[in-house]
Amino acid sequence: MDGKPVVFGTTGYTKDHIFVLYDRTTGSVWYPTERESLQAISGSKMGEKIEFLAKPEKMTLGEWRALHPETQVMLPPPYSKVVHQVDEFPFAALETLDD
Amino acid sequence: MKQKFLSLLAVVLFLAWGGLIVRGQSGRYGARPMAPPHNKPIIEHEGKTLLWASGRNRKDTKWFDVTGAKIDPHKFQYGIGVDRIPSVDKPMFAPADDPRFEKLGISDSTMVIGYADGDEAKAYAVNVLDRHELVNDWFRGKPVTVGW
Repeated sequence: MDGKPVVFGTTGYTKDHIFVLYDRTTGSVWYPTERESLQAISGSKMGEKIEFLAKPEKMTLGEWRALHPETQVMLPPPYSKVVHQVDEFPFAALETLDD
Repeated sequence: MKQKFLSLLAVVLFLAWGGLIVRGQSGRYGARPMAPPHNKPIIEHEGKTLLWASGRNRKDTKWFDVTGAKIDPHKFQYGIGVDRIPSVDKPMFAPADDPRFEKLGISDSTMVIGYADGDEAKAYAVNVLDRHELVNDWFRGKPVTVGW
C-alpha cells in the first residue's frame, strides 16, 4: 500500500497449529481465515484479503533443478538477512500505560 | 481496486496441505497434540483492546491492537513473542552450483520449496523455512511472501 510492499512477520502466536502473522507497516494481525487467502483480522487493514498464489512445490533441489535449470537458491542466514528482532516493530509501547 | 491492491501487496504461498503448519506438531503421536492456550495479557486501554506482543514489564511491553478483531485473541496459542521466529526479510540467492552451498549443507538431495513465475525460479531450503517460517521476497517486481 502507498507504493510500499507489505512485509510479514510472526506474532509469536498460533491458532489451530497455524502461525498468526502481522504486517510491519500497520501492525495488523493476519490469519488464513479461508483456505485461499490471508485476511487481516485486526488493525487498520482489517478485512483486507490477500489471495494465495498457486501452491508451491516441495521436492529435492535436484528435482527442482531438473524442472528449472537456471533456478536461484536462497542462501541461508547470515547471507540472507532476518528481521531485526522487535526493533522494527511498528506498534510502540504505550507511554501512558501505568503499572 | 483489487488489481492495484494485489500489485502492491505481498501475496502468499502456502503448502499444499494447507496453511502455515507449526513444525513438530504433526505425526509423531498420531493425532496432533493440542497446543497450550496462551497466558499472555489482553488488556483494555483507552478504548482499545491490546494483545501482548513482547516485553517483560509494562514499561517495555509492546502490543498488537486487536480492537474489534475478527478472531478472538483469547483463542490464540503460545505467545512466544513477536519475531522470536524471525522472518527472512532480505533473502539472498545464488545459482545452485555456488560453492558456498556445499559448506552450508545444501545439495541436490536437500528438500526445498520451489516457486517459479515466468523465467524467475527460486528454491528455498525446507530446513531454513523451519527456522524462519517466512521469507519476504520478490518475483517479477512484485512482493511475494513465502510461508511455511
